[in-house]
Amino acid sequence: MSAVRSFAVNRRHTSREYEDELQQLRELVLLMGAKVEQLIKSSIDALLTRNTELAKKMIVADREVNRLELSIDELCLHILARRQPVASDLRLITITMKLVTDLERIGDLGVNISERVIELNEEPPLKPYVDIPKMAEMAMGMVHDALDAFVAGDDSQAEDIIARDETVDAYYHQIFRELLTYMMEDAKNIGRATRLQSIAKYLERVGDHATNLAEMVIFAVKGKDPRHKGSRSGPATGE
Amino acid sequence: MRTKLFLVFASLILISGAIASRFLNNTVRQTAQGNVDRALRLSARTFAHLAASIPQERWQNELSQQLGSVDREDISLSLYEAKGQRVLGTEVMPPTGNEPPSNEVKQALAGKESFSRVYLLPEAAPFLVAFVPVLQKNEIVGAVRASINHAPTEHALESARQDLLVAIVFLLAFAAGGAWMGPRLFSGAITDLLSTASRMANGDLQIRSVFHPRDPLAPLAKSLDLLASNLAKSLEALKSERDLVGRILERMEEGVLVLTADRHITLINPALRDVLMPKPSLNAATSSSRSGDDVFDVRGRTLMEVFRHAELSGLLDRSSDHERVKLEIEVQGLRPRRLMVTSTRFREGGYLVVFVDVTEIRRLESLRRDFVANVSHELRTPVASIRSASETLPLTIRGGDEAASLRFVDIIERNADRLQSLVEDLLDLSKIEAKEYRLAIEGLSVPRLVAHIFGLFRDRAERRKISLEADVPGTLPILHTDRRAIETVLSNLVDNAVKYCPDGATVRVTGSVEKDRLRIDVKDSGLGIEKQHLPRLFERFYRVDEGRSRAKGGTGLGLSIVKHLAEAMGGSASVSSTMGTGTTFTVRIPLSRTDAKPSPTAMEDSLG
Repeated sequence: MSAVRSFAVNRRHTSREYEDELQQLRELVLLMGAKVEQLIKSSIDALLTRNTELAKKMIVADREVNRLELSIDELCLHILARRQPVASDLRLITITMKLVTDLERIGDLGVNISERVIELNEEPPLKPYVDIPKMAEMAMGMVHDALDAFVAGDDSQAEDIIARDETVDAYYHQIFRELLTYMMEDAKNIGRATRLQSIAKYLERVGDHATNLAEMVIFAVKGKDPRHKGSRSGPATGE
Repeated sequence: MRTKLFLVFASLILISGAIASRFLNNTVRQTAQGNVDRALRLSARTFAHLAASIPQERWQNELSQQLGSVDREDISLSLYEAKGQRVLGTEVMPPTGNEPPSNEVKQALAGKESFSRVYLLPEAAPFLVAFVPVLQKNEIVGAVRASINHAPTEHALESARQDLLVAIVFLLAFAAGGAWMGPRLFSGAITDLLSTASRMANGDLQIRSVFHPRDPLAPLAKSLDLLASNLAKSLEALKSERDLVGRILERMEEGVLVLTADRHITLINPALRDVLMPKPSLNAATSSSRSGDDVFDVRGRTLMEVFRHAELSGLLDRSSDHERVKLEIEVQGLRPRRLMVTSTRFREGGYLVVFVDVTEIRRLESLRRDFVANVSHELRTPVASIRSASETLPLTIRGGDEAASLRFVDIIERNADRLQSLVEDLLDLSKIEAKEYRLAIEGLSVPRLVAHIFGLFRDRAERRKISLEADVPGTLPILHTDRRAIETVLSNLVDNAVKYCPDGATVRVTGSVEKDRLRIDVKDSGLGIEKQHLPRLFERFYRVDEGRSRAKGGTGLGLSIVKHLAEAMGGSASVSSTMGTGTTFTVRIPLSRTDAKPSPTAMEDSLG
C-alpha cells in the first residue's frame, strides 16, 4: 500500500508551485494518453465502417498528440532544471519522459493505420474482419490498462498487461498466415492483403509499446527497472 | 478562577500585613521607645539637675539619699565626676575600679548628651543608656548615666509582632476560604453561564442556561439561549436544504459533475458515477488491489484521473460562463453508451458538467433511418417494374402484340398488388405500434380458427407436398380476442412455414393451455434458423436470406406484424429453432381480455 501511495502525486512538497507543476504534468500525460487511445480506436472504427473521413480526421488529430509530447518534455526539463528533484521525484520525471515517447509512437501507429484504411477504402473489402478487431481490442486494452495503472500508481496489473502481449503477437501471426493464403489465391488480393497485414503489424507494435508503458509503471512504483531481464546478466555468465 | 481570587486576596493581605508590620515596627517602636527615651532622659536630667544643685563634695552623702526619690524602679542612675570616675549609682555594674572612662562618659564630660543602646552582656536584653552632663554655673563638673532595661519594650514589640503574624495567617486562611467560596456564592451564576456558553460553542446547541429570573445575569443568559436556538434552527434549515439537494442529485437520471477551476472533482452524483466507473466485477482481482483506497471516493481527484476522455478536456476548455457548450461522447465498457455532455463555467471559477444518456434516442434514430431506407428500397423495385412495364405497354399495344401487352399488364398488376400489401402491412404495423389498434373481442373456437387458416393455404401446400397437421383438441377453451388479429397472426406464421419449408415437409399447429393463456405452436420441419438470427427475427424487414425472401414475395414485415399483434392482444410471440430439424414459432394469447388495451411488451418470451 505504501508503494502505491509513494508514487501518487499526493505528497507534500515544500513549494506549492512544485506541487502544481507535478499535477499539471500528470494531467498532460493523461490527456495525451486519452487522445492516443481515441486515435487508435477511431482508426480501427474507420477500418470497420469504411469511413475515410474519420481516418483523415485521425491523421490530423495526431498533430495534437505531438504538440502534447513537446509540452510535456518541456515541462519535464523545466522541473529538472528548476526543482532538481531527487529519488522518487526524479524517477517520476524520467519515467514520464519515457512514457510520453511510447505514447507518441502509438499515436504515429494510429496515423499509419488510418493511412492504410484510406487506401483500403478505395477497393471493396477483402474479407469480413474478425481477427483484426479482436487484436485491436486486446492491444487497446493493454494501453488503457497501462494508463489506468499509471493513474492509480498501482503496478499489480502490470505483469498481466505484459503477458497479454504474447496473445497480441499470436494474433499477428495468425492474421499474417491467413492473409498469405488470400494473396496466394489471387494476385488481385495482394494490394488489400498487404495493407491489412501492415495494419496488423502496427497493432502488434502498439502492443509492444503498451508493454513498455507497463514496465515503466513497475519501475515507477517499485524503483527497480524490470526491463530487459534477459540481457542484464553479461556474456560472462553465459545467460 | 479561584486561584486568581485567592492570589489577589493573599497578596492584598500580605501587602497590608507587611505595611502594618512596618507601621507597627516604626510607630510602636518609636512611641514606646520615645516614651522610654523621654523617661530616661528626664531621669538623667533631673538627676543631673539635682547633682548640679549640690556642691560636689556633698554628692556622696546627699545624693545617695536623693537617689531613692529620683530613682524609678527600672531606671538605674550613676554619677560620674569630672575626671570620669564613678561616684555613685544604683545600677549594678561590674566593679569598675579604675577603669578608664568610656567614650560616652568622655563625651558627656565634654558637654554632649548621648543616647544609645548597648548590650551589656552578649545575648542579654538590650539596655537604653543616656548620658547627660552636670553643669554648675556653666561648668561641666560631672556626668549622669541613666539606663533602662529595654527588654520589656522589646518583648512587647515582639509579642505585638507575633500577634500581627497570627492575624495575618488567619486572614490568609480567610482569604483562601473566601476565594474558595467566593466564586460559588458570588459568581456562581457566571461560572454556570460560562460553562453553558462553552458547551454551546463546542456544538451542543440543545443545552440551555438555568438561572433565576431575578439574577442580574438573567438578560445575558436569555440572550445566550436565544442565540443558541436561532443557530440551531438555521443549521437545521441548512441541513434539510442540503439533504433535499442531495436527494435530488441522488435520484436524478442525468449525471451531474462539479469541478474546481483546476478540474478537481467537488461533487459527483451517483448516476454519473455508475456510468463512468461501473462497479468492478465480482471476481476481478483488481477490486482487491486497491485496499485502503476507496475506488468510489473520487472527490478531490482530477477529472482526467477518473475518466480519461480526450474530448471532455477540450469541452471544458471551450466552456464559458455565459453559454453552454455541448458535446456527444461515447463511453466504452460492458455497456457502451452515448452521452450528451453540457458544460458551463462559474464566474468565480469551476465547472458544472451535466451528462444525459442519449443512447436509446440515438439507437431509435438509427433504427428509423434504417427503416426508412428499407422501405424506400422495398418500394423502389415494384415501382420500377410498374414504370418500365407501363412505358413499354403503349408500344406493344400499338404494335398489336396482344400476348406481350397482356404480359406487361400482368406485371403491372402483380407489382401493384405487391405495393398494396406493402403499404397495408406498413399501415397496420404503424397502427399497432401506435397502440391505435382497436380489438373487437369475440369468442372464437380455436380448432375452427386453425381449420380456416389451413383452408387458405391448402392448395399451395398440396402443390409442394407439404402436409398441414393440426393438433388442436376440441377441449380447448374459447378464446376471447380480436378475430382479425389472431387470424393474421396464424396466417402469417403458417404462410412463412409453408414458404420456407422444402417440399415434403410438415407444418404442425399445436394448441394448448398455459395458465391463463392459450399457447399456439407452429412447428415446421424445415432447415431451421441459425442462432444469431433468432433475436432479430421479429424486426421489421429483417431477412435471414435476402434474395430468397424477396423471390418468394415476402414483404419482410410478416413476423413484425405477428409480434405486435400478439402483444396488442395482450400476449407474446417467440421462436426456437434447431438447425436441420426445424423451427417452432410460439404465440401466447390470454384466453380472455375484457379490455381492448394491449399488454406491455413481454421481452422475456421473445426468445422462447
